Amino acid sequence: MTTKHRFARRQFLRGAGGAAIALPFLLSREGSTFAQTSSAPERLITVFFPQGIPASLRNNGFTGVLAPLAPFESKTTMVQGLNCNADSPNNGHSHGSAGFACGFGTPVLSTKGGPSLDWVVYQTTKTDTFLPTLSAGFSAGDDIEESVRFNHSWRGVNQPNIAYLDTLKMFQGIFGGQPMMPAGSTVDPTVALKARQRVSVLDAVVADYQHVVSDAGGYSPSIRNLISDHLDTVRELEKRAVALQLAANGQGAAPMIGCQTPLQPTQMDSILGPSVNGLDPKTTPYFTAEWSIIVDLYVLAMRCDLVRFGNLLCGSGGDSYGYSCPVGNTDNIHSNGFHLWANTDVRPIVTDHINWTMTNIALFLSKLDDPAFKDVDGGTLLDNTTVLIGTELGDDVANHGMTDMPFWVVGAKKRFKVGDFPIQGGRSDVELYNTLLRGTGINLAFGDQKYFNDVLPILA
Amino acid sequence: MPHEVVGPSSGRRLTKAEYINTVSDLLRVDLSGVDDASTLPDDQPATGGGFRNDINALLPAAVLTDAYETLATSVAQRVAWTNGLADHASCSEPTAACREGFVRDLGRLLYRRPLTDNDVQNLTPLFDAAGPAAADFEAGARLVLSAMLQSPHFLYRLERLDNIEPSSGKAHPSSFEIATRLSYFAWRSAPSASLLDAAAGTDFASPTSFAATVNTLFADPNAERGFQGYAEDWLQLYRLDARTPSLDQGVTPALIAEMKEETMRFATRIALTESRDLTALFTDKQTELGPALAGIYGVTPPAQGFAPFDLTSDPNRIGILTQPGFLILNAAPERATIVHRGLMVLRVFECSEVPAPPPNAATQIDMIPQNLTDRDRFALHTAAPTCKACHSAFDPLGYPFEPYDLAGRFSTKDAFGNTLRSDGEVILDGVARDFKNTAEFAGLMAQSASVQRCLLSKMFQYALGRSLNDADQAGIDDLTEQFASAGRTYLAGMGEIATSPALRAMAPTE
Repeated sequence: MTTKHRFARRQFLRGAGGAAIALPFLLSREGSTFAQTSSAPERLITVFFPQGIPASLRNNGFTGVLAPLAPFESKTTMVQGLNCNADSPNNGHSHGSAGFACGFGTPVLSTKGGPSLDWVVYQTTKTDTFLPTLSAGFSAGDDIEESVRFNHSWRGVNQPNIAYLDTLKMFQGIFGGQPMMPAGSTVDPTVALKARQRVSVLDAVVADYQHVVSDAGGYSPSIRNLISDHLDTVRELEKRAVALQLAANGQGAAPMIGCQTPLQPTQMDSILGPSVNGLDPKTTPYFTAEWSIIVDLYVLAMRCDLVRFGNLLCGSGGDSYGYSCPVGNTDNIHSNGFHLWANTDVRPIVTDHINWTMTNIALFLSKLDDPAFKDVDGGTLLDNTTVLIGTELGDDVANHGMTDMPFWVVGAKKRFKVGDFPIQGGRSDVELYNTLLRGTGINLAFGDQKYFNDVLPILA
Repeated sequence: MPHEVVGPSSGRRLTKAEYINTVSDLLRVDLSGVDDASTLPDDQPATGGGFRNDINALLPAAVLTDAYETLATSVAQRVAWTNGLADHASCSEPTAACREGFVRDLGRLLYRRPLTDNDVQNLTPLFDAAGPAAADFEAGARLVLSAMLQSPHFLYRLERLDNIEPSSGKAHPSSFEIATRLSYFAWRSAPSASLLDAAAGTDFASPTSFAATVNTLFADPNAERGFQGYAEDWLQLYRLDARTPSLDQGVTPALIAEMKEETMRFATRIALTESRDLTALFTDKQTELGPALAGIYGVTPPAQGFAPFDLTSDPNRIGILTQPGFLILNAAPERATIVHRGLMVLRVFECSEVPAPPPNAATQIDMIPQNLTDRDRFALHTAAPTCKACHSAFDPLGYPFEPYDLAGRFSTKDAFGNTLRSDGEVILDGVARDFKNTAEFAGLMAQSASVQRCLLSKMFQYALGRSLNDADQAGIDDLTEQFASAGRTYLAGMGEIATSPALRAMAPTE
């Protein structure tokens, strides 16, 4: 590729006339296209939690284990009774994890069978945020060869949006180690030079990838496809580098109100550690503390409009770890907890664990619903975000049941009826995913269409 | 009759270890410290084989791209100029010739082949980004390095389709691509300058010259690093890095680290230091133990560090199968079962796999009272024909290990007072064989033709970076014969694979 071509492409990135393209976190609401519209942008976050919830614990509304979700009842569509038909080379945890927010099974557990819901909406809406998606959460690290159990945002087959399991890496991934420099800031020549050189390097890197992908490269179709997938991610990186270059030159716009780079968080990694304040990784107190940081970073990224799509991971499918609570202890909440649901001595511990999970998820919802941070239409971020909460197992958690799967759709711009919808007739999770897309105005066939007959009766 | 030969997968991304080794070897920048190494996410093994260098496990992702940029920027700043990057510059004037000379010299090493004009045209403008003066040459060179370290030609092992062999008219890998296959196979790192020089020579492919090149590679000190990388994946020891401690059973992080080190030291001694028949892995009675592990073995701990121990007088310790580092692999946090251990033996040493279990398979065993022995619990569990079909293939392989608890301590009774047994019957090479105890089982494993074939087959799979298929089996049969004739040593196996037709064949077709 010639220098001329590269320049032309960079001009495109910067927008006509040298103006910055809409990289929202650098824009004030008053000055941005985003702000000039009265409708909030599309957002969709999936939240995955493992092990399922027995039906008996979810048939009394927002009480019991679901009490943590009660504050959001007026914004929630609860859907039960769906089947997950996804197949995979392992057990129910793998099937359900593969199918979650994707609607396909998979012949290999290193990849989901298609793009995930968040990615499809991101692409369809042509969203142009600093980060396309954000995936983060905690995991006990079991079944590491089964990526489908802990990665739930996928661009397509073999294209994971890998989840951050480390708070520091997540912080760096979001904020890039760069200060947000509003327009008119004093320009530091050294910073500006480095920013310019970074873009130049990435320019050369992109050209290299493009050559491999091109007919002139001389590589096989499979290599070209692989490198093309990688190229997409380099382009995203370059776009962020260009935005930061503009900011370093004092040409960036003011950050959004209430949007500032936070202090670097304590490093926590749910699998690898380090231990923090006496808490060891792979324990629920550690998960709780790490989740709090992850939720703070995630919600801040959304408030700053750095990202609108992604996944939060509240544990991996089939995770195994000890669990202690006032009603008892187990050395393995998976095999000596959920698997023994029939045992009345074990049930209270499992019940408490589910309540703990719902409390974690409620923390995310409450921060999105904070009225101090209003969206462009005056609603909360939660009001204008489709939050899909789901899990990998249905009612019969002890036997890896794949029927009567529960889902919660929260916020979603009031597109869906509020209430509890026990769906009869063996309908599928694929039908829910397609219903969400239709409600969003996206008429794409999503997931395995063998299991789609019609949208579910939840559209408002 | 000649059989089909299919080469290694093409387009593999460097694994995390390969990336770190490559940067260290070519640029003398150490990224093995936790701050640097943790920048890259850990690679996950591919399903069905356990190797992390399998192309199906090496997917691109935005998180990786960000990490590559971070590390490239860091390496480009940290690499020495004098006696480092400057060695690739014959001059440092701001001229096109000087710039091109630097790009071609450094690029040949990092891209593992001579650069094309397109490569050069893409990279030399970075000198302008650094500045026009002679004093800016070094800064420009560092920008070039940063770009090279993010290039697909560095991060991926790309092989072209347009290298046509005149005699056959068919595409074949170039000598540089073959040199790259060899070096990552033997060293887990990039070809050295001298290996690239050899690849550039006209005599590289001749049998004599090629065999000499292979011998040189495995005689190099880097071959030990290569073996340990292979062993870490073959024996799945990387799983111990993220193993959940079980403090109530004495499985502390320190003990887990010693478990890994014991098995790695043991395997390295058998395979490299003593270069013995690899079946000695099952039967050797010597080991090295650290203080925490000595407690598990019931021997007096060494004063510090690791020390050799002769286990000849201990009838319950023999070879790798009774080492805690193997016994704890794949076990749940709270307990190990004969199923976990049987499956490990089946997958690692018999190169076999079982079909996916039914969705609820894993849960049924938890409903059986836990105060029975593992063997009795699983006998009840597998009484159903739907379970028995598969469990009969791997449960018996776990029987010899019932007397070893999660941490690998030997005991004749469990916590419920049940007597623990290590006898049983297994089918090896299609024949049912009885064993009275773990030692006899280990002996049967060492003598098994299918296990011996598997020792070679795993090396072959590692070399190819993909799952094995039917087309590979005839080649493995041939190599297994040669492997046996050569004494079944690691170096013999690796050397035969390195010089086999498969390592010089094209990648599988689309």
